[in-house]
Parts: sequence; structure tokens; C-alpha cells
Amino acid sequence: MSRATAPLALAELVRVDPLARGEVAVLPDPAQRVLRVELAETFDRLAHTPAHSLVVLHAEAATGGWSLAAALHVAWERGAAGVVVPRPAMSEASAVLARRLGTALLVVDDDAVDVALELAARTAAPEAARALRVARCAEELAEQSSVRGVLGVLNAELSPGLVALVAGGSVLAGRAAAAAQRDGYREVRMAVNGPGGRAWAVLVASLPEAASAVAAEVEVHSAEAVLRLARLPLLAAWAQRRLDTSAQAAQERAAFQVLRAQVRLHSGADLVAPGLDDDAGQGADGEVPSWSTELGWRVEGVNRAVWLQREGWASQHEEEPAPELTQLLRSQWARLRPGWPLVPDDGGWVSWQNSPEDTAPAALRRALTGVASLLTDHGLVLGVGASHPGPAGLVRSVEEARLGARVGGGPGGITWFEDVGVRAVLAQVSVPEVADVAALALPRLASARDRLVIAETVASVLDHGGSLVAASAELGVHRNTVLARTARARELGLALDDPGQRLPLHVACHGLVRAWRATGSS
Amino acid sequence: MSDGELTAADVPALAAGALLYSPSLAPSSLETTVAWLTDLLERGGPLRVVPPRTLPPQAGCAAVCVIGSGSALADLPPTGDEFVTAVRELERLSGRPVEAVLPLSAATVSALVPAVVASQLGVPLLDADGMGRTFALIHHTAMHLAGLPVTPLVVAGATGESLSLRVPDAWRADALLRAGIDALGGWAALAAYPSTAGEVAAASLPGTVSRLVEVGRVLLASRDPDTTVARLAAVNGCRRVGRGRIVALEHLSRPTDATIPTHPSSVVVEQMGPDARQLRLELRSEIVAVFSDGALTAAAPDLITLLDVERGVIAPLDSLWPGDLVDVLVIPAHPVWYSAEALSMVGPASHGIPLDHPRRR
Amino acid sequence: MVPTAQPAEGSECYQHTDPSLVGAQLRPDGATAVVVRPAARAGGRAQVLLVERATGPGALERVLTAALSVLAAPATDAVPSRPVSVVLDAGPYLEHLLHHAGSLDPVAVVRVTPRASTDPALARHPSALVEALVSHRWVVPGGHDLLGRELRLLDRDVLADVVETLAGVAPRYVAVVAAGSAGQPAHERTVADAVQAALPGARISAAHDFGGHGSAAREATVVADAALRGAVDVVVDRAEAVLRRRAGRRGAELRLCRGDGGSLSAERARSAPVLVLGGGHGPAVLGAALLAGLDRCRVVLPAVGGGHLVGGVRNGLALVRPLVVGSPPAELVVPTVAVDRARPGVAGDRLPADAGSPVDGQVPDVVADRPLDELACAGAALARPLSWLDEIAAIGSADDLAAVQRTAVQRATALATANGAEPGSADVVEVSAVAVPYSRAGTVRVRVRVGGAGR
Repeated sequence: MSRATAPLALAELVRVDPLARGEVAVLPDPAQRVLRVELAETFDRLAHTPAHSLVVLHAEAATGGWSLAAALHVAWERGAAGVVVPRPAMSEASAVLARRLGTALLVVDDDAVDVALELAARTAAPEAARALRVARCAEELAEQSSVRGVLGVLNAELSPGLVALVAGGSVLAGRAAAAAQRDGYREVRMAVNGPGGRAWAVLVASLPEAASAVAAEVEVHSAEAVLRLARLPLLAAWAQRRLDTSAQAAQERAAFQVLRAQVRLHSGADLVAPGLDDDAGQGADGEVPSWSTELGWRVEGVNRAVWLQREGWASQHEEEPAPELTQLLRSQWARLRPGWPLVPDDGGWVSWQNSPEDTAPAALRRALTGVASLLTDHGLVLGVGASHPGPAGLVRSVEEARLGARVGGGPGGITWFEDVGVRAVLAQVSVPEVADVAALALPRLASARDRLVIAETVASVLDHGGSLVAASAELGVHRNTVLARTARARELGLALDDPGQRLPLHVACHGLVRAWRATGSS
Repeated sequence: MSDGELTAADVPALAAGALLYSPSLAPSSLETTVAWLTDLLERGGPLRVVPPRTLPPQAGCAAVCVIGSGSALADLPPTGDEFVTAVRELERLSGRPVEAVLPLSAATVSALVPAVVASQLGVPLLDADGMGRTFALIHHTAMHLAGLPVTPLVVAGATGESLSLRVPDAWRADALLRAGIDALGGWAALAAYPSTAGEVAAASLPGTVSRLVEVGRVLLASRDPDTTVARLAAVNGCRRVGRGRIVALEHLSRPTDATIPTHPSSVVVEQMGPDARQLRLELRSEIVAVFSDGALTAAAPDLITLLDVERGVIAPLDSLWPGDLVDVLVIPAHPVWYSAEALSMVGPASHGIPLDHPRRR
Repeated sequence: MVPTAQPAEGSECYQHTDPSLVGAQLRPDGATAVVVRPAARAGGRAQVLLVERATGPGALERVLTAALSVLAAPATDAVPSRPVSVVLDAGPYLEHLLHHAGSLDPVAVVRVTPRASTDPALARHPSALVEALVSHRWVVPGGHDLLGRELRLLDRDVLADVVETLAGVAPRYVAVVAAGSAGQPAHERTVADAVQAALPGARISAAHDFGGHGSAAREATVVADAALRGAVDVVVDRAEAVLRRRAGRRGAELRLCRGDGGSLSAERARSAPVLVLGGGHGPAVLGAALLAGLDRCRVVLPAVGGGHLVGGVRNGLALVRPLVVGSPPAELVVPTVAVDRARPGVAGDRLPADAGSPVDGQVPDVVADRPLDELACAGAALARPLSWLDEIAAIGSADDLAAVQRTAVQRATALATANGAEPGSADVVEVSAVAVPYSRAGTVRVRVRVGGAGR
């Protein structure tokens, strides 16, 4: 059996004529192989049907009522791929029975003999049938104008397999389960390149494991052919959507920068500097820029900002997040926190809650737990600022939120500035420079394979005033492990017990943890 | 019924049993015949019901039944002389006096009229019959299987007209009679199988009349379906295939042929309970097959009948509604009907269902 | 007016001014009337606002007067009222009369069959109750088979003789029943016309007006119909007199309750009195369901003398079967609500079908918690015009069957309209077709029920 002769699946067969002209009444297992076609005009013939046959009922065997019920039963007993029945013999009760037996039931209006002959031709030349199917699929794909529509056609076509469009680890459209590794399923990937040949997404199809190696090859080949067909319509639909949404994102980003600049101009001072009192903020609150409302932003009243960024993202030297990720986040964020804007800013995203009066943070704390899975899916962390009035308060809250996110360590990837307090200072430590200095001052630690673990442990022990018990609880390891790691730290030249070195060591470890988390520990 | 006598008091049980063995008609269709038989037994006294072997072997016998539709008989009742006319004419044709009668098929109205004519003629009724239930054609009898000729036969209608018939091939009789029965109003009194008591003793199915009375008493005694089924099991091997609601009545569900009256139709019952199956009943004049999820589980010559669960009575096939809750009951026929020869005559294939009988697999 | 839980779209079912209806029941020993407010929406519960009972002579007049006094306030100019709807269940009273033949006028019967009976048992009706109502019986040769084919030419000489004898006897009520008249009424009509010509004052009931099958059932139906004519006239006259006097300027419209839980106009009741026969259980089953706000349920009613009766409601219509009167039972061709005695050992709140078995009935139960007469009156007040058709047809194909069913539904709809349904309001249709056993292939029995909304 070569690839060209590998048998067709029912799902493939029902998508080409003559079955495409008929009706699929019951199709419990689309992956069912069809090895041959049997025209059964008598029950005797039916009773000798080989397994994996598609049985076309005719004459005595297609007289309706009992005959279809009996045919379904025999088909089930014989392990037939399914039963094709002329419409006059079809009844609702028979569909119920077919579902119960798990037997495919297909209804045709054409003459049964013609149908059987045509089906026999299809099953005898699977490659020709597949070519027909691909042609039919291409037509359907060409009619789609949205990404969602294209993925819909793909999922119908490759059913029971699943298809998703994935960019940078996030599912942009289609069936999310396709992107997950599943037992008994194989993955077929097809890169989708944007203009200029830059890959911006991948089509991932997850197909049920085939019965044989040859069948597997055929399936992969067939799925690839279909996925390849989808690339062009997908790009066309994507380009249209991107045109609309990336323009809006760019406008919002610029608008927020203008808002921030206005606030700074008004105050004539560095508003984010600690010690700014609320009165000064209030004074800067004089005008709310009119265009902010055109964008649907509300900034009068009290604002509490959140900052999202990729985990471990620390440096302005890194790339800005891809516009696709921004678009994806915007749509998901809009669903989770309706009414909150999401504006790309300085390598992360700003969002805020606006309310007429200050509200208790408890409700927001509860509400934000709902975004945890979004953060995990995209590898993000989130900081939450304090609430402050007016546009100036918003800008201040954004800075607080960003500090919170940088310090990190909050449960579920969410860190509240109010919980961080002065530790926020640590966030201002320049991470690359700390790393550079540490390489000189602590060469043995910097070159150790387990440097991240040691730095984390030392930072935690010092956070807890030298308490091994508290540190072991925070790190989730046994006290003896903490003890062993501090011993190792001393070996590597970290003088934990020297009061004179303790403060610089504490600051350095926090900086090193962030630096090494970003780059990996070795 | 006791000591071989059928009295007026036994008639309700006889009628109830007669309906179980052919549930094609509503009980009210028997109303006139039941009243007539009751009146005859009150006027003429109890009727002797005897096994064929207790008569002298050379005593002349005839099989009697209603040929045609019981609905037609209910709408055009007998005037009273049809059965006597048929028997007298048969005596003339066969040249032998009839000294006892037996039911051609001891079921439905045909279980009552032999008692009527026996009472009218003053002869005993034989405790035996030709079918042990009802089959579609008059040569579908144990007597025919044993080689007794069906003809000469006589049919007499309520119109006062009669036909007599002689055929070398038994299976031709129905074909020749059909148009005549239609013209007589849809039913007629039939007297056939002129024979001797010795021949009947060897060829007929014994005890089928007294069994009707016994079964009838079971049916009249309880309206609880579970009790009824359990008691019937002891009397005639009845078993319940399933209980469910009628969900569909389908007509002309398979091609009709010219040889058997009544077009095919189907009743679909969705069984209740955890392992619910779909029961499909195929009907001709009687229920001829039961498919359980498409598998043939019972078929003619098994007697298949429906018990109306909510009322605790046999559900007549001419008044089923979707939504009715029924027990599907199967009663084995006499063993003579499961031979290859008999099955080809009255088995599923004879009703256009060319599958092996479940009892022969 | 609107006695339905599920009115047809567009019919003026929900009157805004006064959504209250009167239902009444006449029994041998007394009468009851209730005022009912129908459910405000589909699936809601109807409510009983007033119950009035009386016994003895004039009981009907007293309860109707009490009920009307609540409703018949004069209409103001601003809120024009419609006539009050009064539906009377006279079934229990009429059934009582049937069992006491002496209180009814005797009926002369003319049978049309190919031959007269040769056995006395077959010459009379099998039911003693029916036979007690019959004073004379004649046979005219003629008749048709089930499908309407002529079996014997109508013997006009014999007909002339019979009519002459009849004229001498001069019965007031005559029942005519011909073999096969459900399929072909020609002979029956000829006989009825000849009798009417000879006896212009006689009231004649002809079997083909009721359809159905079985000569015994058809004869029992026309005999009962003829026998009850005088009694129904009296009851309707009495009720209409109260309505005329007490309905005020609003006026009132009288309908009668059918045995199958439907209703028909007073005029139709006068011309086909057998349709209103019934033991009162029919409207009670319906009333219990409507007061519970259910259109698909089983209803458990207390039985006279202990125990329970069980009935069913589907699509807002009570389940029916042919009416049976007397013992030994005589079946009629008119439908009545099917009630069965619950099997012993079954508590009132458990259904017999499910007792001790794992079967899931899947239908909610309604256990009646009010007196039967009150339920019957509520059911009567809310009874909708219904029709029922039961006929035999010959078909050659599935298309034929569809056509036969379509025609039957059309005719049943016309009948429902004749019974007082708003034209175009037929919204409940049940059709059943089964093959007639041991008949020529393609012979089917078609039964149809149609329910409409009341005017």
C-alpha cells in the first residue's frame, strides 16, 4: 500500500461527491477508514460484508422500516465503516438507532447503484478523491473573509483533528486544544509568513494517531495540503484586521505618551518622585485632555493603574512586544476587564480602572485573580498601582504599577505596589550593571552553575532577618536545604554573617536574581 | 370451562383469550358475536368440547372460521345462518355429514364462531385447531402440513350468497377467494378441511380451545401487567421483550405483495430503563417481527402481542397511538411451526423479511 | 371567549375586560356551577373564583343564577363587555336517564342491511340497556361494505311498507342505521328522508352523522342520540331561560360539554345530543390539569366508593376512547375521556403504571384535591371546541396516506368549527393511522382529533 492508495477516511469521503450531494445523518467516527464499497441488495450479501466496508443499501435491503434497522445492526456486527441509504428508506427512528449503535448513516437521493459505483471509484483511487477534496476545500477557503472563518473551514475539513493559529506561544484563533500536546495525536505545523517573509504565526493541526505508518503519512500529506491552501486567505484576512487594529494601538500609545507629557509639563516637576503630595497632584489635574474621551478613556475621578509586562522583562534594550501579541491581549483583556483600556507603553501595557470615588481594593484584588490564566498563557506579570485622583494620579499610579511588576513575587504573577512598599527601591537597581559588578566582586558566585538558586536563597534569608525557617517557607524547600545553600553561599565567598557586608549583599542578590532570571542561570 | 363443557359463563374468558392470540381487533369488535354465543349457550345449554381422539375415528369433521376482516364483520354482523349454511354445503360437497367442528384458527372472532356453529348444529366442538394462533392464509395450518386437503371448501356471506371451491394446490385457495370475500362485504363464514376425527386427531394442534379459556381467565383476573405476564408465562411460555412508549407509527414500511392481506407497517417503541433499546415491531395483520436495536429478536410464527401497561389489557393493533406505554410480549407458537417447511410458509421470509428466524439460529 | 391554555395566535382569546367563565354540571341529584378565571398566559394555572352547589328541583337554575350574578354586572360605556360564556356538563344527568329507560321517549329503529337476522340474538342489540330504549325495529334490505361499495340495492318496496307501518305507529324519535353508511350514506339518507316525509314531526338520528365503526356501536349511538333528544331540549331550554333572565345587558352564550372534554354549541347539542353524554369524568380530568397549569400529565381522581381513577392529558386535550355505557358494556362511536380504575394497592399519589416497576412514566401527575363536581365544572368552563373523526380509507402509497390524512384533518377542522371553534383557530391536531388487519392491502383506519379556540 503506497501513499497514493492509502484508504480514505469517512470524513474525506463525505466531502466529495456523491456523498457531498447527500446528507450526513449520523457520523460518530469521521476517522473511520473505508476500505471498500459494498452494494448490498440482499441481507445475505449484507451478512457477508467485510469489515471497513461502506455499505450501500439497495433493493430488498433498502425497503425502509425494519430493513434499515436490521442493516444498521448487521453493519455494526460486521464492523462496517457505515451505511448509505436511499432517502425513501430513511426514517427518524433509524437515525436514533444509528446513533445508539455508533454506526455512520449517510442518506443519498441518487440511485443507489450509481452511488455505489461512484463511491467504488473514489475508494479505488484515494489520491484522486483527495485531489477533488482539496479543490473543493480551496473554493470554500477562498470565500472566507475573516481569520475565524478560515479556521472554521480548516477545523471542519480536518475533523476529527483540531486546528489552531498560534503566534509566540499564544493561540490567536481556532481550537486551543490543537496547540496542546495530546496523547494519541500528532502535530502538523505550517508556518504562515507575513509580508517580507517574516514568520508571524504557525498553523498547528493536531490529528488523531493513524492506524498505520502509511496512513499517517497520507494524513500528514493531506493535512499539509489543506493547511498550505489556507495560508493565502489567512494572510489576506489578517492583513485587513491588522490594518484596523494596529492603527488603533499606535494611536493609543501616542495618546498616552502625550497625556504623560502634559501631566509632567503642568506640574513642572518629576511627578513620580517620591514625596509628591496629593494636593500637588490635584493641582495638576486642572484639565482633562479632550481627546482622551474620544478614545473612550476616562481619567477624571480616581484611577488605579495596572502594568503588564513579560516575565523577567527588565531592559529597554529588549525588543518591544509583537503587535500581534498586543492585538491578542487587547481582545482577551477587553473580555476579562470590560471598560479598561489596554495601551502598549514602553515595552509593556498600561491599563487602569476609573471610578468617581476611591473604592476599596478588596474587590479589585478578587477581580484580578480572574486574569491569572491570561498571565500564565502569555508569560506575563502584572503590577497594580495605588489609586490617585485625576490624570496626574493616573500617571503616578502607572509608575507604581510598573515598579510593582518589576519587583514581582506577588501571588499569581500579580504584585501590588501597596504590598511592596520601600522594596520598590530595589526595582530601580540597574540590573545589567549589578550583574557586571557582581562578576567582578563575586566571581565564584557569578560563574557557579547554581548561582540563581544561591542568590534567591540568600536574598530570601536576608529578607527574613536571617530566619532559615521563614526563608524555607517562602522558597518552599526544607529548612536543611536552606541551611545547605547558605553553607554553599559562604563557600562561594558571600559573607552573610558580616554586618558590614550584609546590606550591599542583600541589594546585590535582589539585582542578581532579576538579572539571572532574565538570562537563565548558566 | 370444566368437564369438557363450555357454558355461557365461560364466554368472556374465551373471548379474552381469543384476543390475546390475535390482538388485531378491539374487544368491541367481538361484542355482537360474544352476545350471540352467550345467548345460544343460554338457550341451548352447555356445549361439549372434546379432544378429537375421543370421537369415533370415522366421524366427519370440518374446520370453521371467519375469513376476511374482523372489522368488516363488526360492521356487517352475521344474520345467523352463514356458518350453518357453509357447513351444510360442505357436507353436500364432501358427501360426509359433519359430526364435530373445530376452529381453523383458535383466535379472535374465529375462536368464537366454531362454538356458535357447533351449538347451532348440536355437535361437539373439538378442543384443537389448525393454527394455534392466526396466520394470514387458510392453508397455513397443521392439517395442511400433515397433508389434509383444504378443499372442498365453502364460504357464505351475510349477503346470503355463497361460494364453493375446489383446488388441487392449497395455496391457490386464498388467491381465488379474495375477490369473492371482498364482494361479500369483507368477511365470510368458511367451512373447510372436510376430514375425519381420526385425521384431525393426528393432524391438528390439541388443547388450543381450552387453553384460550385458561389464558382468558388469567387476563380477566388481574390488571397488573407484571402479574399477568408472570401467570401467562406459566400457561403458554409468554415472555416480555421490553416495556416502552410508542414513538412512531410508520406505514408501507416495506413493499407489499399480493398474496398476503394488509399492507406492512411498523411501530417504533423506545424502551425504558437504563439499557433502553429501540424496539421496532413490523406489522401485517399481526405483529410479524420484533427488532431490538436492529437485531431480529422474535418473529412469526412467534405470537407477538402488546399489553397496554396503563390499563392492564391487551392493546388492539387497530387503536395504537404514539405515546402509549406498552409491554411487548412474545409467546412461542406450537413446535410444528418451527420446521423448515413451516417457516417458509409462515416465518419472517413470508412477510418480506428474509432473515433467519431467531429460534433457528 | 377563551377557554384555552394555548390559544391560537390572532384569535381573540385573552379578553381584557372580564376573563371569567362559568362552568356548570347537572347531575341527577343536583347541580354545581363555578366561576373560573383562565390562565393569564400559556402554562399558567386557571383559578376557581366561586363554587355554588344546589340539590333538588331547580338546582340548575339556582347555581347558574348565583354564578351569573357575580359576572353579569351591566356593562359600562367605557368597557364594553362580551357575553358571559357558560358551558354546561349535562353528561352525568343524561347518562342517568339512559339507565332509566322509562324516563326517556322510546325509539323506533330502522336497520338497513343486506338481509334480516335469522337468529333472535342477532336481531336485537347486544346491550340490554340499548335494547330497553327501543320500541320497534324494522329492517330494510340494502347496505354497503366498509369502503362504501354497495352490497345490495336498497329495496324500495320494503322501504315503502316499513314507512307505512312507521307512520301508523308514529314514533317521535327514529334512529336509522345502515350497513357501511360511514363510507357511503346514500341508503341511510334515502331511508331517513322517506321516514321524515311520512312523519314530518319525527326527530331522526342517522348513523352516518357520527361516523365510526361496528354496527352494534353505531346502532347504540343513534338509539341513545334519538332517546336523549327530548331530555337535552329540556335541559338546554332551562339553562337558556336562566341565561336570558340573569345575564343582564351583557348577555350570555351557552355551550355544552362533550364527553371527550371538548365543548359544542347549544344548537349542535340539540341536534346531536349523544355527543354530550359522559359520566362527568372527562371535564374533571381536564379541569384538574388546567387548575394545575399542565397540558401534559396524568390525572388521579377520587372514585365514587373509594379507590382512584386515572386519566391522561396530552397537548391540552384529555385522552379519549369510545364511550361505553351500561353493563354488559355497550360501546358507542362517540369518544369519551379515558379513565381507568387505578389498580388496587396503589396510593392516590402514585401512578399505577409506575407502581413497583422501574418504568419512568416521564409525565407529571396531578392528584385531584378538590371535589369531582368542582373539577368537572372548571373543566367544562375551559373546554374548547373539539372534533373527532374515525374513518376507513384505502391507500396505494405513502403519498396517498398523506393525502387521506390531510383531508381527514380538514374535515375534522370543519367539524370543530361547526362545534363552535373560531375559524382558523385549530391548533391541536392528533392523527393516527393504522392498517386494518386482514383487509385488502392499503386499508387504513384514520383517526383525527382537532381542537380549536372558542369564539
